[in-house]
Amino acid sequence: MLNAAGGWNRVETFAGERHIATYSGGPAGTTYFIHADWLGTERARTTVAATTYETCTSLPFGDNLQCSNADVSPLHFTGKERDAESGLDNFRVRYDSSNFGRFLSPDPNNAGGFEHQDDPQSWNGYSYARNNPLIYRDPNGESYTICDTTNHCQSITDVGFGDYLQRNPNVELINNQIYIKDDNGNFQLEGSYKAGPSDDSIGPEGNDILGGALIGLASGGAVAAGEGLIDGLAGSAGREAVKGAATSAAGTAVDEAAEISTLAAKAATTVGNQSAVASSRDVALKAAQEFLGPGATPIRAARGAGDIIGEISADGQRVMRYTSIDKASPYINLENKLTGGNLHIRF
Amino acid sequence: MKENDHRLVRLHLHDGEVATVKVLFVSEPEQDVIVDLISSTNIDRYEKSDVQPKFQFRFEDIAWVESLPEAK
Repeated sequence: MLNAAGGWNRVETFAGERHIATYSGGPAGTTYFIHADWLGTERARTTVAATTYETCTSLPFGDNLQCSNADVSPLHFTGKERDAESGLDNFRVRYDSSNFGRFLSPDPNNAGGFEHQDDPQSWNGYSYARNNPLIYRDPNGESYTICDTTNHCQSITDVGFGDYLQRNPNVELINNQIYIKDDNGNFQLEGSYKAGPSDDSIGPEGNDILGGALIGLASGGAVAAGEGLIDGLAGSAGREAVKGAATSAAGTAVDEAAEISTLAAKAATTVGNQSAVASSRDVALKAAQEFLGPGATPIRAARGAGDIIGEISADGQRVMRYTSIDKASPYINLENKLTGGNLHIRF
Repeated sequence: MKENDHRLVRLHLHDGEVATVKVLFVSEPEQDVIVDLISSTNIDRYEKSDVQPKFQFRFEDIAWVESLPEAK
């Protein structure tokens, strides 16, 4: 903050988003050091001479703030700036009213619905820090993200957490963060995760890849109607599915292979009509989708460019992987965890 | 890795990232594991998506696997 003469009037110094010192008083000013509680709320300020300048008290939501001396900095509740006129705390994305214990506007990331349906404390978009200001603080008023007492501030999504949390009482999901209870009963913060805008996932991209695969199969061998596809698909089925069968004592992989071969034959019949290349995409996609069943989820590579490399069925038992036909060794791979079947279709 | 199927584990990766995941599918033929990514020390690596994808980690990228306690 500059004064009218353009000189320093007040400087706030932070380290790791924690407020550690205030320089106040203009050119002849001095530095005050901050002594905050476990959430960053400032409770005492000392001088460079190591004497106490002021102490501050407030209630859990930051309300009823009282300081023992003239305030040298407006940063108080969890280190957020309190507006002298309105009494509101500036949390960057929105203002919080300590008197109400509520933000003055809902979580902007909850505008489209409840992002975290598994956590009822998140349903009120106005609530502050999951309604538990003694343990948590909100770093910026955004995105259902809060910090723990060790100042770890990260965000995660709720994907799969309903089931995950039910089966893991040692884990607690708190405002977009995961805490795991250690042997001493203390919750330790685990990393973070983000959610955001969608992409096309398996939609048209998947069609292109699988359709392209069929085009490659149908045209690659210059064979009679459908034979290329049969050679490629059924031939692979004959070879690779046998591998699956060999590793499956129950022999159920054979049934799976037969089923896939049947689908391949249907695809071959359709592609046999060379004018039906376009519809072959649908046939190919249908074959893979029948294998996966409804509700399949795209799989992204965690490394590299993060490309979508396949899909996993809703029950997590079947996986399809594929590569584009412009890759060196394009393929579609279908795996079934239950049967041990592994059909690798090269083209 | 197979013994961790459907379990909560921490994947310690060669590049230093530590990812807490729920293992969904372990593939020996493909030498990879498909997971629900729960948290990571390097979250910016992962793209945002409305339809939350599963993630594939290749065995060769995993330094070691730390099992986490399950619910009692």
